[in-house]
Amino acid sequence: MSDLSPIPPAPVLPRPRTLLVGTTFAIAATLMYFAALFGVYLHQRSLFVKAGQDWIPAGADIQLTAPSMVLWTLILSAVTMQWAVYSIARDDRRHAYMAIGITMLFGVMTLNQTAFQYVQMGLEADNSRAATLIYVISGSHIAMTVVGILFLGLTGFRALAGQYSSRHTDGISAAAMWWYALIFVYAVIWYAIFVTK
Amino acid sequence: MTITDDPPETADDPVAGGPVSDVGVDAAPPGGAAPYAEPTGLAGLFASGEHKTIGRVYLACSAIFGLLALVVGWLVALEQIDMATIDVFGNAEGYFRAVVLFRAAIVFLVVVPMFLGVAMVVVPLQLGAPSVAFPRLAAASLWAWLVGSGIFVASILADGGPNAGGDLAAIELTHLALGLTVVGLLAGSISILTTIVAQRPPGMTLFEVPLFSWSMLVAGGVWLLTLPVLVADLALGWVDLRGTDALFFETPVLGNYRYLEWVFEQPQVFAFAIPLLGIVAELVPILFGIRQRLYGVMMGAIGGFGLLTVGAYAQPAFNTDVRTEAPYVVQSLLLVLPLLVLLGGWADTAVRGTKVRSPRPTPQLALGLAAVIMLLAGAAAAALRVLGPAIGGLRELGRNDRSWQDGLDDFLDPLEDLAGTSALSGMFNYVVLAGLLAAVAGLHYWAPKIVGRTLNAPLGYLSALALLGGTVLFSLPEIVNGFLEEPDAPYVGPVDDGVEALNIVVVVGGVLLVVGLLAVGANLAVSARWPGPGPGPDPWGGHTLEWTTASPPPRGNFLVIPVVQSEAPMLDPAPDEEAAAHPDAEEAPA
Repeated sequence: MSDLSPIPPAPVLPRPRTLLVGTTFAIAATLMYFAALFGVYLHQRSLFVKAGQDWIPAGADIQLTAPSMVLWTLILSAVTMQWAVYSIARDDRRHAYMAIGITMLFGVMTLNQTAFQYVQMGLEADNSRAATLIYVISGSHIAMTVVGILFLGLTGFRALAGQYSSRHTDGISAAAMWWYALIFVYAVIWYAIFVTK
Repeated sequence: MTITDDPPETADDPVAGGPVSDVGVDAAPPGGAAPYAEPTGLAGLFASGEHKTIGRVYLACSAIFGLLALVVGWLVALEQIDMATIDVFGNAEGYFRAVVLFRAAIVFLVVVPMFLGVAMVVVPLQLGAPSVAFPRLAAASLWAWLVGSGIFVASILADGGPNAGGDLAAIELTHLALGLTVVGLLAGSISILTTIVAQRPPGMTLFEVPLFSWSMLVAGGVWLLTLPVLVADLALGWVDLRGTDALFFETPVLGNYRYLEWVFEQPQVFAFAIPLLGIVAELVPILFGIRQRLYGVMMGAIGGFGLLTVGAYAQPAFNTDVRTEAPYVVQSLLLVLPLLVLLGGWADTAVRGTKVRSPRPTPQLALGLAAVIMLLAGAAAAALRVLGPAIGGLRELGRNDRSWQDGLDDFLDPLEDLAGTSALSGMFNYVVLAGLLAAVAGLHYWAPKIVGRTLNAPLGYLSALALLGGTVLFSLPEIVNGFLEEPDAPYVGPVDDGVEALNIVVVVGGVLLVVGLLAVGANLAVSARWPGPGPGPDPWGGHTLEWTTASPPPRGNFLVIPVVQSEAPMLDPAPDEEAAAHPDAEEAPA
């Protein structure tokens, strides 16, 4: 049998992983933003502790139950997020759609739990340094979560349109990186703000 | 659709989608897809995701803001001649707002967006890329920056500012607008950084990217790691202001400016001048038509300078002693070293190059060298500001041995008194105006790619002279005034004799700066009105890929992207020349 293609095919050049690189830069900037906020929070709290003053103002009730629920929800969402990446890498689209949807649902649940916590802790927004810092940090995390949900929604729609497959998982992988970053940030919030109060 | 963000397998990604030829990668869309229709008019301006259009709008708007900032800076200098009798801004709060407007505007509305504008046009061209990464993000960054900048200026004019006793709503607006401006610049930086990291042509490693692109990688990285800290400060200030009382950020004189001033001090302010080094590094080898030797060392020097400019930790608001602590002092003293390494590299190129051919001076080279000298002066001023604490620290170490210290006291005391004086303004002015000089140098050099024609050389030299003279006169007297105990703006206080005369010199410098920037505008207007013959793809004998495409570049930039073999692809032998030089190469076993 004769060889019908005497010229060998051109080598496949590595495809630039543009979205993953860009998302990495965005995550780096976001982590620096939170690092600055945590730095101010811990610095201010240490000043209060040294002076023998209460950091959390009287009348506020910060319980650990709601933040722990948020953290466990986010840990579960890490599993479903990885499920989406695993599925799309194996061209299992149905599982990928399901995993993305459940992860988004977990994200919405954390927003709901955070809103519940705001009502429960009764911390007035404008009467203490602790309140200012806690609301800025947790509010910024809400914004990060909303961005994550939108990012997941976008990649979900693109997956439905057939843009992602085992050959091209970048979109879902990038959304997953962002999601893991927001889980990491919440873990720090949980420990630095709510556990050590 | 004007703004495109195609999946990797399609048109805009030649590396992924184009057929590979033996000479390079075909950048044309596979399957011969029809080219996009070029949008025109307002649609071409507002809806464009084309990197060159975005860069041009960045440059035009930042030049307009530049004129505004320089006029405000000039008015501040005018009031500083004699604070008791000259009252330009009505009251102390107005003066304070003007100082904040000048400093924030010259950094975030002028120098950084000018560099970003040049990079938005040039970086994809230097990398052989058809577009910038994330064109929609790049467009969003432009409009976020522009809207934020406009609101920022308006909020200051409406008695806003960082909490200096003005209108509360306008103060909140200042925080939000400056935050939006910075976020816009960060988004643009992400677009540029991703282009450099992920869209290089075949054969070009990260350590072979042109030095301007490398400097943007370093600068963008530093901005990305430090400016979010500024956004965090602004977010805290904004939330705090929304209550009935400003509890957290309330301070008697400076207001929230105390939490922002680290951006305008060493070492952070030097981060805004990093691309300057890349621009000059492009210009010097071209002057002599030879390669830059020790390319890796030059890259390392730019990277080292970038590392030394990370200053987000140095916030006096949270650590009042930071300016006398070892990391800050050492960092400030070391800033000058990478600059000396770079100067050594350029001197080496000049010495070797003069043996090859006579240099061909250009306005961009004059502007670029002036920028480097001004940056060096800024680094020297930064070192001067920390000499007092540095020597104080040495005294502490050797306090048991008084013999070598006593004679130095008279010399050292004035240095230790520099803290809190106008020497800070002098250093700041040197650095940011060096950035402005370099951005104008970049505009001259890449004008064929940015506006499609070369700029007028005599007007270029005029603007170089005016901007250089203006920078020196606007900066140096402020440093001398520091020794005469003039407080740094916005503080006021008693001063020694001679300050008034030197402040008049600063005012003259302000006039020269405005004249210099107007000369740049006039040059662009003259070049537009009388364009002359087209410059062709490569009017300067450039070494990098942007000079292989037409001026101005077509949409998509390149028809065929050559495979790159070195950091100066235009100096590499053509494939046929290489084959002639190595006739046995084809017979070698595969």
